[in-house]
Amino acid sequence: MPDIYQHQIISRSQRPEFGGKLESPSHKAVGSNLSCGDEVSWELLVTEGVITDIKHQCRACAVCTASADLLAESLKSQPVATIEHTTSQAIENLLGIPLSPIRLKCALLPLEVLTNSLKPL
Amino acid sequence: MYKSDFPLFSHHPGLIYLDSAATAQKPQVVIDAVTTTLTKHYGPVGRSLYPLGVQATEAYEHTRQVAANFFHALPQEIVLLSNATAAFNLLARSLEPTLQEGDEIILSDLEHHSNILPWKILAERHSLTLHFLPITAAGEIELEKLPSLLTERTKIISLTHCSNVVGTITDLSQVKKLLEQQGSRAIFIVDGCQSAPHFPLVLPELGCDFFIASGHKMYGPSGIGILWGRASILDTLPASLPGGGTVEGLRHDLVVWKESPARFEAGTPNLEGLVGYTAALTYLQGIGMDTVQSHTNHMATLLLQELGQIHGVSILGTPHPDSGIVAFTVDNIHAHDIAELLGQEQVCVRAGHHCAGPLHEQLGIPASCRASIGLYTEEADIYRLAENLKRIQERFHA
Repeated sequence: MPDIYQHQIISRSQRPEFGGKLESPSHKAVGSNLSCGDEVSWELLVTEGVITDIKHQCRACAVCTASADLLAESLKSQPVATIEHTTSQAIENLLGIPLSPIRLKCALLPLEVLTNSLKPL
Repeated sequence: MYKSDFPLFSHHPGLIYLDSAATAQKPQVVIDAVTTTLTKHYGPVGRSLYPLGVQATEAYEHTRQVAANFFHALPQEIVLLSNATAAFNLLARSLEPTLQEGDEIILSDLEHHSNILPWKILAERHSLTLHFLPITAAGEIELEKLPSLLTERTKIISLTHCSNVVGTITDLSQVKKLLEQQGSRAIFIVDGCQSAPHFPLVLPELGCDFFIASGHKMYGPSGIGILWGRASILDTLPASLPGGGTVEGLRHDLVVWKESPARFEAGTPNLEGLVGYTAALTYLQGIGMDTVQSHTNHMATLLLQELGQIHGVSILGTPHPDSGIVAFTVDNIHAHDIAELLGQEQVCVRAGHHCAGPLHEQLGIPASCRASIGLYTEEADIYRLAENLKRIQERFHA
Protein backbone atom coordinates (compact mmCIF):
# COMPACT_ATOMS: atom_id res chain seq x y z
CA MET A 1 0.00 0.00 0.00
CA PRO A 2 1.47 3.38 -0.94
CA ASP A 3 2.06 5.85 1.85
CA ILE A 4 -0.21 8.69 0.85
CA TYR A 5 0.98 10.71 3.80
CA GLN A 6 4.27 11.62 2.25
CA HIS A 7 5.99 14.76 3.46
CA GLN A 8 4.43 17.03 0.83
CA ILE A 9 0.85 16.15 1.74
CA ILE A 10 1.28 16.55 5.48
CA SER A 11 3.28 19.72 5.02
CA ARG A 12 0.79 21.28 2.61
CA SER A 13 -2.15 20.35 4.83
CA GLN A 14 -0.54 21.65 8.00
CA ARG A 15 0.95 24.80 6.50
CA PRO A 16 -0.87 25.54 3.24
CA GLU A 17 0.90 28.09 1.06
CA PHE A 18 -2.38 29.31 -0.43
CA GLY A 19 -4.56 29.06 2.67
CA GLY A 20 -6.67 31.99 3.86
CA LYS A 21 -8.78 34.75 2.33
CA LEU A 22 -8.18 37.47 -0.25
CA GLU A 23 -8.67 41.14 0.52
CA SER A 24 -10.74 41.85 -2.58
CA PRO A 25 -11.76 38.65 -4.35
CA SER A 26 -13.69 38.83 -7.60
CA HIS A 27 -15.00 35.24 -7.44
CA LYS A 28 -15.97 32.77 -4.74
CA ALA A 29 -16.81 29.06 -4.58
CA VAL A 30 -17.99 27.02 -1.62
CA GLY A 31 -18.76 23.34 -1.40
CA SER A 32 -18.62 20.26 0.75
CA ASN A 33 -18.67 16.51 0.69
CA LEU A 34 -21.65 15.57 2.85
CA SER A 35 -20.53 12.00 3.23
CA CYS A 36 -17.33 12.90 5.07
CA GLY A 37 -17.95 16.50 6.06
CA ASP A 38 -15.02 18.01 4.18
CA GLU A 39 -15.63 21.67 3.39
CA VAL A 40 -13.73 23.83 0.90
CA SER A 41 -14.13 27.50 0.13
CA TRP A 42 -12.25 29.38 -2.58
CA GLU A 43 -11.59 33.05 -3.22
CA LEU A 44 -10.14 34.14 -6.57
CA LEU A 45 -9.09 37.42 -8.03
CA VAL A 46 -9.64 37.23 -11.77
CA THR A 47 -8.24 40.09 -13.86
CA GLU A 48 -8.92 40.13 -17.59
CA GLY A 49 -9.59 36.40 -17.58
CA VAL A 50 -6.46 35.48 -15.62
CA ILE A 51 -6.36 34.16 -12.04
CA THR A 52 -4.05 36.73 -10.52
CA ASP A 53 -4.55 35.52 -6.95
CA ILE A 54 -6.20 32.54 -5.31
CA LYS A 55 -6.75 31.31 -1.73
CA HIS A 56 -8.60 28.42 -0.15
CA GLN A 57 -9.96 27.61 3.27
CA CYS A 58 -10.38 23.91 4.01
CA ARG A 59 -12.05 22.19 6.91
CA ALA A 60 -10.98 18.86 5.61
CA CYS A 61 -8.60 15.93 5.71
CA ALA A 62 -4.92 16.17 4.78
CA VAL A 63 -5.46 14.82 1.25
CA CYS A 64 -8.22 17.33 0.49
CA THR A 65 -6.34 20.28 1.95
CA ALA A 66 -3.09 19.40 0.19
CA SER A 67 -5.00 18.94 -3.05
CA ALA A 68 -6.53 22.40 -2.69
CA ASP A 69 -3.16 23.96 -1.98
CA LEU A 70 -1.38 22.30 -4.90
CA LEU A 71 -4.29 23.12 -7.20
CA ALA A 72 -4.16 26.76 -6.14
CA GLU A 73 -0.47 26.86 -6.93
CA SER A 74 -1.03 25.36 -10.36
CA LEU A 75 -3.86 27.76 -11.21
CA LYS A 76 -2.26 31.01 -10.14
CA SER A 77 -1.41 33.19 -13.13
CA GLN A 78 -3.34 30.86 -15.45
CA PRO A 79 -6.43 31.74 -17.53
CA VAL A 80 -9.61 31.08 -15.56
CA ALA A 81 -10.62 28.63 -18.29
CA THR A 82 -7.84 26.37 -17.03
CA ILE A 83 -10.17 25.28 -14.22
CA GLU A 84 -12.59 23.52 -16.52
CA HIS A 85 -9.75 21.81 -18.36
CA THR A 86 -8.16 20.42 -15.19
CA THR A 87 -8.71 16.67 -15.01
CA SER A 88 -8.82 14.29 -12.10
CA GLN A 89 -5.62 12.75 -13.43
CA ALA A 90 -4.00 16.17 -13.16
CA ILE A 91 -4.92 16.27 -9.47
CA GLU A 92 -3.44 12.83 -8.89
CA ASN A 93 -0.31 14.00 -10.70
CA LEU A 94 -0.10 17.07 -8.47
CA LEU A 95 -0.39 14.93 -5.35
CA GLY A 96 2.08 12.47 -6.79
CA ILE A 97 0.45 9.37 -5.34
CA PRO A 98 -2.12 6.79 -6.39
CA LEU A 99 -5.35 7.13 -4.42
CA SER A 100 -8.03 4.65 -3.40
CA PRO A 101 -11.56 5.45 -4.68
CA ILE A 102 -12.58 6.87 -1.30
CA ARG A 103 -9.54 9.11 -0.98
CA LEU A 104 -9.90 10.18 -4.62
CA LYS A 105 -13.17 11.85 -3.57
CA CYS A 106 -11.23 13.78 -0.93
CA ALA A 107 -8.60 14.78 -3.46
CA LEU A 108 -11.09 15.89 -6.11
CA LEU A 109 -13.36 17.94 -3.86
CA PRO A 110 -11.42 21.22 -4.26
CA LEU A 111 -11.52 20.94 -8.06
CA GLU A 112 -15.20 19.96 -8.06
CA VAL A 113 -16.08 22.94 -5.89
CA LEU A 114 -14.21 25.28 -8.22
CA THR A 115 -15.73 23.72 -11.33
CA ASN A 116 -19.31 23.58 -10.08
CA SER A 117 -19.81 26.64 -7.94
CA LEU A 118 -17.41 29.41 -8.92
CA LYS A 119 -19.40 32.62 -9.09
CA PRO A 120 -18.44 36.27 -9.63
CA LEU A 121 -19.12 38.52 -6.65
CA MET B 1 -8.81 -15.72 24.28
CA TYR B 2 -11.39 -16.05 21.51
CA LYS B 3 -9.19 -14.75 18.68
CA SER B 4 -8.20 -18.24 17.60
CA ASP B 5 -11.87 -18.98 16.84
CA PHE B 6 -11.68 -16.44 14.00
CA PRO B 7 -9.60 -17.62 11.02
CA LEU B 8 -9.27 -14.14 9.54
CA PHE B 9 -6.60 -13.39 12.11
CA SER B 10 -4.44 -16.33 11.08
CA HIS B 11 -4.57 -15.03 7.51
CA HIS B 12 -3.69 -11.51 8.68
CA PRO B 13 -1.21 -11.92 11.52
CA GLY B 14 -0.94 -8.74 13.53
CA LEU B 15 -4.28 -7.35 12.38
CA ILE B 16 -6.11 -5.34 15.02
CA TYR B 17 -9.79 -5.26 14.19
CA LEU B 18 -11.59 -2.55 16.15
CA ASP B 19 -14.56 -2.10 13.84
CA SER B 20 -17.01 -4.70 15.10
CA ALA B 21 -19.76 -2.11 15.45
CA ALA B 22 -19.67 -1.85 11.65
CA THR B 23 -19.48 -5.59 11.10
CA ALA B 24 -18.03 -8.42 13.13
CA GLN B 25 -15.56 -11.03 11.92
CA LYS B 26 -16.78 -14.60 11.59
CA PRO B 27 -15.79 -17.57 13.73
CA GLN B 28 -14.84 -20.84 12.03
CA VAL B 29 -18.11 -22.46 13.13
CA VAL B 30 -20.07 -19.87 11.13
CA ILE B 31 -17.88 -20.28 8.06
CA ASP B 32 -18.23 -24.06 8.32
CA ALA B 33 -22.01 -23.83 8.63
CA VAL B 34 -22.28 -21.64 5.52
CA THR B 35 -19.89 -23.83 3.54
CA THR B 36 -21.59 -27.07 4.57
CA THR B 37 -25.00 -25.67 3.65
CA LEU B 38 -23.84 -24.60 0.22
CA THR B 39 -21.90 -27.81 -0.47
CA LYS B 40 -24.23 -30.40 1.02
CA HIS B 41 -27.63 -29.08 2.04
CA TYR B 42 -28.65 -26.23 -0.21
CA GLY B 43 -32.19 -26.25 -1.54
CA PRO B 44 -35.34 -24.15 -1.84
CA VAL B 45 -37.06 -23.14 1.37
CA GLY B 46 -40.78 -23.75 1.89
CA ARG B 47 -41.51 -24.81 -1.65
CA SER B 48 -40.37 -28.34 -2.42
CA LEU B 49 -41.29 -31.82 -1.30
CA TYR B 50 -38.07 -33.67 -2.03
CA PRO B 51 -35.69 -34.32 0.89
CA LEU B 52 -33.26 -31.52 0.07
CA GLY B 53 -36.10 -29.01 -0.01
CA VAL B 54 -37.57 -30.34 3.21
CA GLN B 55 -34.18 -30.12 4.92
CA ALA B 56 -33.78 -26.54 3.73
CA THR B 57 -37.20 -25.62 5.13
CA GLU B 58 -36.35 -27.31 8.43
CA ALA B 59 -33.03 -25.46 8.63
CA TYR B 60 -34.84 -22.18 7.97
CA GLU B 61 -37.37 -22.74 10.71
CA HIS B 62 -34.60 -23.97 13.00
CA THR B 63 -32.98 -20.54 12.71
CA ARG B 64 -36.22 -18.96 13.86
CA GLN B 65 -36.32 -21.32 16.83
CA VAL B 66 -32.68 -20.71 17.76
CA ALA B 67 -33.18 -16.94 17.49
CA ALA B 68 -36.30 -17.20 19.63
CA ASN B 69 -34.37 -19.16 22.28
CA PHE B 70 -31.48 -16.72 22.13
CA PHE B 71 -33.74 -13.73 22.70
CA HIS B 72 -36.17 -15.55 25.04
CA ALA B 73 -39.01 -14.91 22.63
CA LEU B 74 -41.62 -16.91 20.78
CA PRO B 75 -40.67 -18.22 17.33
CA GLN B 76 -43.82 -16.79 15.77
CA GLU B 77 -42.64 -13.35 16.91
CA ILE B 78 -39.36 -13.58 14.99
CA VAL B 79 -39.33 -12.29 11.41
CA LEU B 80 -36.29 -13.33 9.37
CA LEU B 81 -35.18 -10.57 7.02
CA SER B 82 -32.21 -9.52 4.91
CA ASN B 83 -30.82 -6.93 7.34
CA ALA B 84 -31.78 -4.43 10.01
CA THR B 85 -32.42 -1.71 7.44
CA ALA B 86 -34.93 -3.99 5.74
CA ALA B 87 -36.58 -4.50 9.13
CA PHE B 88 -37.00 -0.76 9.70
CA ASN B 89 -38.38 -0.28 6.22
CA LEU B 90 -40.73 -3.23 6.53
CA LEU B 91 -42.01 -1.92 9.82
CA ALA B 92 -42.47 1.60 8.48
CA ARG B 93 -44.40 0.34 5.48
CA SER B 94 -46.47 -2.04 7.57
CA LEU B 95 -47.41 0.71 10.00
CA GLU B 96 -48.10 3.23 7.22
CA PRO B 97 -51.82 2.39 6.91
CA THR B 98 -52.31 3.19 10.61
CA LEU B 99 -50.96 6.74 10.22
CA GLN B 100 -52.89 9.87 9.32
CA GLU B 101 -51.97 13.47 8.55
CA GLY B 102 -50.92 15.23 11.74
CA ASP B 103 -49.77 12.08 13.52
CA GLU B 104 -46.43 12.25 15.27
CA ILE B 105 -43.33 10.08 15.45
CA ILE B 106 -40.61 10.48 18.07
CA LEU B 107 -36.99 9.61 17.33
CA SER B 108 -33.78 10.90 18.91
CA ASP B 109 -30.66 12.72 17.81
CA LEU B 110 -28.69 9.52 18.41
CA GLU B 111 -30.36 7.51 15.69
CA HIS B 112 -28.71 5.71 12.81
CA HIS B 113 -29.91 6.79 9.37
CA SER B 114 -31.78 3.47 9.10
CA ASN B 115 -33.99 4.57 11.97
CA ILE B 116 -34.57 8.03 10.54
CA LEU B 117 -34.99 7.80 6.78
CA PRO B 118 -37.94 5.35 6.62
CA TRP B 119 -39.86 7.58 9.06
CA LYS B 120 -38.82 10.75 7.25
CA ILE B 121 -40.25 9.38 4.02
CA LEU B 122 -43.50 8.47 5.78
CA ALA B 123 -43.62 11.92 7.35
CA GLU B 124 -43.23 13.64 4.00
CA ARG B 125 -45.75 11.35 2.32
CA HIS B 126 -48.48 11.78 4.94
CA SER B 127 -47.68 15.17 6.52
CA LEU B 128 -46.63 13.61 9.81
CA THR B 129 -44.52 15.43 12.39
CA LEU B 130 -41.13 14.01 13.33
CA HIS B 131 -39.77 14.95 16.75
CA PHE B 132 -36.18 14.34 17.77
CA LEU B 133 -35.39 13.88 21.44
CA PRO B 134 -32.21 15.84 22.20
CA ILE B 135 -29.14 14.35 23.84
CA THR B 136 -27.19 15.36 26.92
CA ALA B 137 -23.52 16.31 26.96
CA ALA B 138 -22.84 12.69 27.90
CA GLY B 139 -24.53 11.57 24.68
CA GLU B 140 -27.57 10.07 26.37
CA ILE B 141 -31.09 10.60 25.12
CA GLU B 142 -32.84 13.21 27.27
CA LEU B 143 -35.73 10.99 28.28
CA GLU B 144 -37.05 13.63 30.67
CA LYS B 145 -38.06 15.58 27.55
CA LEU B 146 -40.20 12.67 26.35
CA PRO B 147 -43.39 13.53 28.32
CA SER B 148 -43.48 17.02 26.82
CA LEU B 149 -43.31 15.58 23.31
CA LEU B 150 -45.93 12.89 23.82
CA THR B 151 -49.41 13.73 22.59
CA GLU B 152 -52.42 11.68 21.65
CA ARG B 153 -51.17 11.98 18.06
CA THR B 154 -47.89 10.23 18.92
CA LYS B 155 -48.17 6.92 17.11
CA ILE B 156 -44.59 5.69 17.02
CA ILE B 157 -41.49 6.12 19.14
CA SER B 158 -38.36 4.54 17.73
CA LEU B 159 -35.10 4.75 19.67
CA THR B 160 -31.72 3.14 19.71
CA HIS B 161 -30.91 0.79 22.57
CA CYS B 162 -27.23 1.55 22.26
CA SER B 163 -25.72 4.39 20.26
CA ASN B 164 -23.55 3.25 17.37
CA VAL B 165 -21.40 6.35 17.83
CA VAL B 166 -21.16 7.49 21.44
CA GLY B 167 -21.81 4.07 22.97
CA THR B 168 -24.44 5.23 25.43
CA ILE B 169 -27.29 2.95 26.49
CA THR B 170 -30.94 3.96 26.54
CA ASP B 171 -32.98 3.07 29.62
CA LEU B 172 -35.79 1.29 27.81
CA SER B 173 -37.72 0.55 30.99
CA GLN B 174 -37.79 4.29 31.69
CA VAL B 175 -39.22 4.93 28.22
CA LYS B 176 -41.90 2.31 28.82
CA LYS B 177 -42.68 3.81 32.22
CA LEU B 178 -43.03 7.31 30.74
CA LEU B 179 -45.28 6.00 27.98
CA GLU B 180 -47.49 4.28 30.53
CA GLN B 181 -47.59 7.32 32.82
CA GLN B 182 -48.81 9.43 29.91
CA GLY B 183 -51.30 6.78 28.86
CA SER B 184 -49.63 6.70 25.46
CA ARG B 185 -50.56 3.98 23.02
CA ALA B 186 -47.61 4.71 20.78
CA ILE B 187 -45.81 1.74 19.32
CA PHE B 188 -42.35 1.53 20.82
CA ILE B 189 -39.60 0.32 18.48
CA VAL B 190 -36.02 -0.35 19.54
CA ASP B 191 -32.92 -0.43 17.36
CA GLY B 192 -30.95 -3.23 18.96
CA CYS B 193 -28.20 -3.52 16.36
CA GLN B 194 -25.46 -2.52 18.80
CA SER B 195 -26.86 -4.09 21.95
CA ALA B 196 -27.72 -7.55 20.63
CA PRO B 197 -24.06 -8.54 20.02
CA HIS B 198 -23.04 -7.65 23.57
CA PHE B 199 -25.93 -7.89 26.04
CA PRO B 200 -27.96 -10.78 27.40
CA LEU B 201 -31.45 -9.80 26.26
CA VAL B 202 -34.93 -10.98 27.19
CA LEU B 203 -36.88 -9.19 24.50
CA PRO B 204 -40.40 -9.52 25.94
CA GLU B 205 -39.19 -7.85 29.14
CA LEU B 206 -37.51 -4.84 27.53
CA GLY B 207 -40.73 -2.85 27.41
CA CYS B 208 -40.77 -2.33 23.66
CA ASP B 209 -43.15 -3.64 21.01
CA PHE B 210 -40.55 -4.25 18.31
CA PHE B 211 -36.84 -4.95 18.44
CA ILE B 212 -34.50 -5.01 15.46
CA ALA B 213 -31.10 -6.73 15.31
CA SER B 214 -28.50 -7.22 12.65
CA GLY B 215 -27.01 -10.68 12.03
CA HIS B 216 -23.60 -9.66 10.73
CA LYS B 217 -22.79 -7.64 13.84
CA MET B 218 -23.46 -10.79 15.89
CA TYR B 219 -20.74 -12.78 14.11
CA GLY B 220 -23.18 -14.17 11.56
CA PRO B 221 -22.96 -13.73 7.79
CA SER B 222 -24.13 -10.52 6.18
CA GLY B 223 -27.62 -10.46 4.71
CA ILE B 224 -29.52 -11.39 7.87
CA GLY B 225 -31.77 -9.19 9.97
CA ILE B 226 -34.13 -9.99 12.78
CA LEU B 227 -37.37 -8.23 13.58
CA TRP B 228 -39.01 -9.24 16.82
CA GLY B 229 -42.54 -8.04 17.38
CA ARG B 230 -45.18 -8.66 20.00
CA ALA B 231 -47.59 -11.13 18.46
CA SER B 232 -50.55 -8.98 19.51
CA ILE B 233 -49.30 -6.22 17.18
CA LEU B 234 -47.36 -8.19 14.58
CA ASP B 235 -50.42 -10.30 13.77
CA THR B 236 -52.41 -7.18 12.91
CA LEU B 237 -49.93 -5.73 10.43
CA PRO B 238 -50.36 -6.16 6.69
CA ALA B 239 -47.82 -7.73 4.36
CA SER B 240 -46.02 -4.66 3.12
CA LEU B 241 -43.37 -6.43 1.06
CA PRO B 242 -45.58 -8.88 -0.82
CA GLY B 243 -44.18 -11.63 -2.96
CA GLY B 244 -43.43 -15.31 -3.18
CA GLY B 245 -44.00 -17.14 0.09
CA THR B 246 -46.29 -14.52 1.64
CA VAL B 247 -49.63 -15.94 0.52
CA GLU B 248 -51.50 -19.15 1.13
CA GLY B 249 -53.16 -18.69 -2.22
CA LEU B 250 -53.61 -16.21 -5.02
CA ARG B 251 -56.28 -16.16 -7.67
CA HIS B 252 -57.35 -13.39 -10.00
CA ASP B 253 -59.96 -12.22 -7.53
CA LEU B 254 -58.61 -13.53 -4.24
CA VAL B 255 -55.50 -13.13 -2.05
CA VAL B 256 -55.15 -15.18 1.11
CA TRP B 257 -52.20 -13.95 3.12
CA LYS B 258 -50.19 -16.23 5.35
CA GLU B 259 -50.13 -15.73 9.09
CA SER B 260 -47.24 -13.71 10.54
CA PRO B 261 -44.30 -14.00 10.46
CA ALA B 262 -44.39 -15.81 7.09
CA ARG B 263 -46.34 -13.03 5.36
CA PHE B 264 -43.44 -10.67 6.02
CA GLU B 265 -40.80 -12.97 4.55
CA ALA B 266 -41.14 -12.58 0.81
CA GLY B 267 -38.86 -14.20 -1.71
CA THR B 268 -36.34 -17.01 -1.55
CA PRO B 269 -34.52 -16.52 1.74
CA ASN B 270 -30.80 -16.42 2.38
CA LEU B 271 -30.59 -20.01 3.59
CA GLU B 272 -26.83 -20.25 3.98
CA GLY B 273 -26.79 -16.93 5.78
CA LEU B 274 -29.52 -18.03 8.15
CA VAL B 275 -27.77 -21.31 8.91
CA GLY B 276 -24.61 -19.29 9.53
CA TYR B 277 -26.57 -17.01 11.85
CA THR B 278 -27.82 -20.07 13.73
CA ALA B 279 -24.20 -21.13 14.18
CA ALA B 280 -23.29 -17.62 15.37
CA LEU B 281 -26.06 -17.55 17.96
CA THR B 282 -25.12 -21.04 19.14
CA TYR B 283 -21.50 -19.91 19.38
CA LEU B 284 -22.49 -16.89 21.48
CA GLN B 285 -24.71 -19.03 23.69
CA GLY B 286 -21.81 -21.45 24.16
CA ILE B 287 -19.68 -18.61 25.50
CA GLY B 288 -22.60 -17.15 27.41
CA MET B 289 -23.87 -13.62 26.90
CA ASP B 290 -22.92 -12.68 30.46
CA THR B 291 -19.33 -13.61 29.61
CA VAL B 292 -19.56 -11.72 26.32
CA GLN B 293 -20.79 -8.65 28.17
CA SER B 294 -17.98 -8.89 30.72
CA HIS B 295 -15.38 -9.21 27.96
CA THR B 296 -16.80 -6.18 26.14
CA ASN B 297 -16.92 -4.16 29.33
CA HIS B 298 -13.35 -5.04 30.28
CA MET B 299 -11.92 -4.16 26.86
CA ALA B 300 -13.96 -0.97 26.49
CA THR B 301 -12.94 0.17 29.96
CA LEU B 302 -9.29 -0.27 28.99
CA LEU B 303 -9.95 1.49 25.68
CA LEU B 304 -11.48 4.47 27.49
CA GLN B 305 -8.59 4.56 29.92
CA GLU B 306 -5.92 4.43 27.21
CA LEU B 307 -7.54 6.98 24.90
CA GLY B 308 -8.33 9.23 27.85
CA GLN B 309 -4.61 9.48 28.63
CA ILE B 310 -3.60 10.77 25.20
CA HIS B 311 -3.33 14.55 25.08
CA GLY B 312 -5.30 15.91 22.14
CA VAL B 313 -7.69 12.96 21.93
CA SER B 314 -11.28 13.79 22.85
CA ILE B 315 -13.80 11.03 23.52
CA LEU B 316 -17.33 11.81 22.32
CA GLY B 317 -19.86 11.69 25.12
CA THR B 318 -19.57 9.24 27.98
CA PRO B 319 -19.63 5.77 26.46
CA HIS B 320 -21.01 2.89 28.52
CA PRO B 321 -18.32 0.18 28.54
CA ASP B 322 -20.96 -2.50 27.95
CA SER B 323 -21.48 -1.06 24.47
CA GLY B 324 -17.91 -1.71 23.40
CA ILE B 325 -18.02 1.54 21.40
CA VAL B 326 -15.78 4.58 21.81
CA ALA B 327 -15.80 7.44 19.31
CA PHE B 328 -13.14 10.09 19.40
CA THR B 329 -11.54 12.98 17.61
CA VAL B 330 -7.88 14.01 17.53
CA ASP B 331 -6.99 17.70 17.65
CA ASN B 332 -6.05 19.11 14.23
CA ILE B 333 -6.09 15.75 12.43
CA HIS B 334 -9.10 14.73 10.37
CA ALA B 335 -10.78 11.43 11.23
CA HIS B 336 -10.13 10.06 7.74
CA ASP B 337 -6.42 10.72 8.08
CA ILE B 338 -6.35 8.99 11.46
CA ALA B 339 -8.23 5.94 10.16
CA GLU B 340 -6.14 5.62 7.04
CA LEU B 341 -2.85 5.93 8.91
CA LEU B 342 -4.02 3.42 11.52
CA GLY B 343 -5.04 1.15 8.68
CA GLN B 344 -1.52 1.29 7.29
CA GLU B 345 -0.39 -0.12 10.64
CA GLN B 346 -3.05 -2.88 10.47
CA VAL B 347 -5.28 -1.17 13.03
CA CYS B 348 -8.85 -1.04 11.74
CA VAL B 349 -11.17 1.67 13.04
CA ARG B 350 -14.09 3.42 11.41
CA ALA B 351 -14.01 7.08 10.37
CA GLY B 352 -16.82 9.29 9.16
CA HIS B 353 -20.28 10.09 10.47
CA HIS B 354 -21.13 6.41 11.01
CA CYS B 355 -24.54 6.87 9.37
CA ALA B 356 -25.45 9.25 12.18
CA GLY B 357 -25.45 12.61 10.41
CA PRO B 358 -27.86 14.40 12.75
CA LEU B 359 -25.76 13.36 15.76
CA HIS B 360 -22.56 14.74 14.23
CA GLU B 361 -24.49 17.90 13.35
CA GLN B 362 -25.43 18.20 17.03
CA LEU B 363 -21.86 17.54 18.09
CA GLY B 364 -20.65 20.21 15.67
CA ILE B 365 -18.08 17.96 14.00
CA PRO B 366 -18.02 16.64 10.44
CA ALA B 367 -16.64 13.23 11.33
CA SER B 368 -15.17 11.12 14.09
CA CYS B 369 -13.15 7.95 14.55
CA ARG B 370 -14.74 4.99 16.26
CA ALA B 371 -13.08 2.00 17.87
CA SER B 372 -15.37 -0.89 18.75
CA ILE B 373 -14.83 -4.14 20.57
CA GLY B 374 -15.42 -7.71 19.45
CA LEU B 375 -14.92 -11.08 21.07
CA TYR B 376 -11.48 -11.27 19.46
CA THR B 377 -10.33 -7.97 20.96
CA GLU B 378 -7.37 -8.37 23.31
CA GLU B 379 -5.70 -5.93 25.67
CA ALA B 380 -2.65 -5.78 23.38
CA ASP B 381 -4.93 -4.50 20.60
CA ILE B 382 -5.95 -1.52 22.69
CA TYR B 383 -2.35 -0.69 23.57
CA ARG B 384 -1.38 -0.84 19.89
CA LEU B 385 -4.19 1.52 18.97
CA ALA B 386 -3.00 4.00 21.60
CA GLU B 387 0.66 3.70 20.56
CA ASN B 388 -0.19 4.28 16.91
CA LEU B 389 -2.38 7.26 17.68
CA LYS B 390 0.53 8.89 19.49
CA ARG B 391 2.83 8.18 16.53
CA ILE B 392 0.34 9.76 14.12
CA GLN B 393 0.16 12.85 16.30
CA GLU B 394 3.96 13.11 16.25
CA ARG B 395 4.02 12.71 12.47
CA PHE B 396 1.46 15.45 11.89
CA HIS B 397 2.85 17.87 14.40
CA ALA B 398 6.54 17.30 13.80
